[in-house]
Amino acid sequence: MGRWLARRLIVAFITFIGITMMVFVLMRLAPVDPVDLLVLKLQTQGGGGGLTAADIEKLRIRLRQELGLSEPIFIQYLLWLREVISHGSLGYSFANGRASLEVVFERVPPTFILMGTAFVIELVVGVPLGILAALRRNRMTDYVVSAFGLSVIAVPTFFLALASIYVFSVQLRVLPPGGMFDPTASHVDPVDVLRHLLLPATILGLAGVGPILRYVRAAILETMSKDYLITARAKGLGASQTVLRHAFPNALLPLITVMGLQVGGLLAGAFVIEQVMTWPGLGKLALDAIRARDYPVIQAFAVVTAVMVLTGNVLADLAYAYADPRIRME
Amino acid sequence: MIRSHLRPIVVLAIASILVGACSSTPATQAPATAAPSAAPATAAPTAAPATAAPTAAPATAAPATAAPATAAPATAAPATAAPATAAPTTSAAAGGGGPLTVQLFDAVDSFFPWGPIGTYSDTLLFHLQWEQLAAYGPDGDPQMRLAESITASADAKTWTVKLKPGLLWSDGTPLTSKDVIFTWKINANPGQSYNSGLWTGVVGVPDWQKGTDHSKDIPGITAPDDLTIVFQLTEPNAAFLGPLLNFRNHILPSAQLLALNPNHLNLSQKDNWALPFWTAPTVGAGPYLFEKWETGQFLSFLPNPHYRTGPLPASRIVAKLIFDRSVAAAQLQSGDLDVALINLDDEDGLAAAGFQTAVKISPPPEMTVLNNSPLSPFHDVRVRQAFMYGCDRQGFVDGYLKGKAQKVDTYFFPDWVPKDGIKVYNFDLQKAKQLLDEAKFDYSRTLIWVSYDKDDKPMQASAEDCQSKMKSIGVKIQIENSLETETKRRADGSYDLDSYGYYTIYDPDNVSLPFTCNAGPKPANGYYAEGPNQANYCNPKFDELMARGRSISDQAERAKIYAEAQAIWLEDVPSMIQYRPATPWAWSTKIQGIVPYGDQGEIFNTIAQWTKTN
Repeated sequence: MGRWLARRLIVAFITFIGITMMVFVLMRLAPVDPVDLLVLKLQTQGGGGGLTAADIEKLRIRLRQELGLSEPIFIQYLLWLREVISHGSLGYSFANGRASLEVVFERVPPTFILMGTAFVIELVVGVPLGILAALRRNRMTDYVVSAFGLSVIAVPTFFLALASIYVFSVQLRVLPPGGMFDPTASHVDPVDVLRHLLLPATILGLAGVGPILRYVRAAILETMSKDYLITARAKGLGASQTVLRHAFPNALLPLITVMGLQVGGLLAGAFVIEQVMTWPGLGKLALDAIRARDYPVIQAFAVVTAVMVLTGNVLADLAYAYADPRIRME
Repeated sequence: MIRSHLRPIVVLAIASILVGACSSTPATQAPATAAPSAAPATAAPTAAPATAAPTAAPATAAPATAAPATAAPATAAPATAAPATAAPTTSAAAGGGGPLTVQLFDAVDSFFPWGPIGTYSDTLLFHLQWEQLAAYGPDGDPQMRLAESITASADAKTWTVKLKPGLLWSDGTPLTSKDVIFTWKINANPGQSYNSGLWTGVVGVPDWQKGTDHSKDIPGITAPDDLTIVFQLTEPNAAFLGPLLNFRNHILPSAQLLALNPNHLNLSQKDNWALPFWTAPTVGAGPYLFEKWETGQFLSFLPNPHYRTGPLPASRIVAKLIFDRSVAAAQLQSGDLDVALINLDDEDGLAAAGFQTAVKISPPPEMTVLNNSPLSPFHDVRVRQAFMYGCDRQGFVDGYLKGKAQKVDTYFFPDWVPKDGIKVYNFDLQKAKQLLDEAKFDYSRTLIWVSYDKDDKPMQASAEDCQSKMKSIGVKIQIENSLETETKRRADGSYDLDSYGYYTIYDPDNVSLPFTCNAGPKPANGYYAEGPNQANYCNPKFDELMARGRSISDQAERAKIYAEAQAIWLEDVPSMIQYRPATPWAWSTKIQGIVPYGDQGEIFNTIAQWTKTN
């Protein structure tokens, strides 16, 4: 097990380095860099403070040097890596000079809360519905549940979010329309945070219910056709008992892997929800940084999300190995 | 008892929530009362912030970001009428009203006024924390704030600012001319400010900018006493009020910043930018002062106990980061927002729902630069005029914009520049075709129209509208919307039309900068890739008139000169001015005192008088 875990971690680490290199290079290969963007903004926001062509050219050269963009990309990457190893620094935001890792870490907890809660909702709603659909196969319940699963996959998340705000916040006024807590309150109340969390987490969770529900249903149906389960039924075990005590546990194992992969999907969905519902998470930060070509923040974001996703996958693999003795024996 | 096969999933789920919950203390920046650390960033960053300022621009260029006053300075008379109330000398009580929740509709990064971003929301923050000498009102009239008067000498070479007596910073210390001088040393420093090019017309500034010690006094900016600042110019400039009222010119606390670092004025851009003070200022002269910054959510502000006009009505200002106008409208309706920048389409619905709404015309126009260089057919004035006739600008305003915008016929906006008898380009496709034929326009060529702001739907729509109109007379236009395309095409001049919003023209002198003949050797292909004159327009007679207009104080005389310049400009039409867009606001009926501005970044100019009733 130890050797397996070590191998897994090494692979994860190599993947991580590859991701950071890829993001680093792709950013710098994009046609418009932060200097171009800044000059364009200066020019379109009223002529650039009186700058002549010569001034702008000098500005470009100076900015590129100060930002380390005048070196070849490979050298830039090595310099960046050196700073990471020697100072633990991923750079400083071009927008406000703050340490990019600090800027990103501020946004991680809200995203974690949102994703974690949505994850639970996915399981709590998706798994029982999947079992129910499997038990009531080809009956009305199955059709309704399956249709529900398809509809939450088909409806765009942002639309669902806007519609929910309209219904629950504007019309019914039972839930707040955005943010993480009431800004006018004198202190942060956990109950208030939960109220603010309910809508975004539910929408994000529902978006993931569809795949879970359909997967559980299919997995259980496939397992139900196994000989040992037919035998169990033949011996008089009830349908529910057969599913819950025998079919479901065996269908569960691949579900762990699916859940591990859901981390990426949850992250992507969280970004949309954060924009619409002004949840102060990573997604909004990433979009703003990309728009502004804030390379250090983009890089720090890539590092943090890569760690999150890779860790999620490793944990899922661990969980899988723990749950399935055959994996441990291998 | 959890079965073993379920445990991993349960553990995973609980772990993710716990990790988030345990580290979920909202990311809050230091509260206003905490003193930030004095040392600049000493850790070696991998890259410095992109805040290097340009070197000085030539003194003759008119200020680009200036928004000069409509009223020209009279000889030795106050430039504008404004409430000249003395600042309270004793502490004012905090607001007895409830909190006000307002919207920040752009990203915000810093309270430093001369950084690279300059979004509308940055400006909103400046209006809360800091104060200007004077600012433009919603209709372009200058309004005194810290200044009691701004006057010019008869020859427009000496500008005198008189501060109101008894002004205080929020910590109770006096705000004097020393702070203004200190502020201008930052403002004019190319190593710290992106507006440094505006001050090269002040005596001694170019040499001062080239020096290494920016704590030294600038010869042309002096303070004879605690309430007086004098700007001495090298050339007469009747439009100097514009640079003085530039939206970034907020007065900073010299004593407090120098206490943090005595060498503040010589800090590099990187070190200055990294100061915690700029993300958590501890002192200000504005109406509401920074309290806390919940990253990604909102900033909150408390009333300034020493604000110059006295006690403030709101107990707190909460400025929420809401970038989407539909979301803002929804939050307005749910009561979570008091004032919102909305979509034009939502205005009627919100008005019907009982909200107060206002649609103000935005001062800066939407402009499409025409490439006047030899690289483009627009080199021929007849082609430019053809487009002015062929694009139905009024029709677009009436149709797509539902009349909630203003078609403009001249770039010389101030009312005191006569508009009688100016050449007006009304929609006339026949005339457009005739002009194109006269110019022997190559109909086989596809014209390239670039714009970088995909999110500006009206701008995109106006380009498409013009495209379809011109197509009906055989002109082919290809519209390209992307930052990458715009950057590339501007660099090599491979565009014909280029759309972007332009800045406000409060003084006609502002028209000169983007249309002045470029200085320096002419490139071989005739296209100047950089510089403010994006249209590559050059008319020496126009330049001469604009320079003359700047040098005269008498408004009546200036009006005649600019009328002549306007006629040349409208004949040459170096760029196509399309319309002034509308800025729609909505607010709760519980809010009183709001004065809506067309300029989105200026609405907080009157926030000191906003009250909320229950």
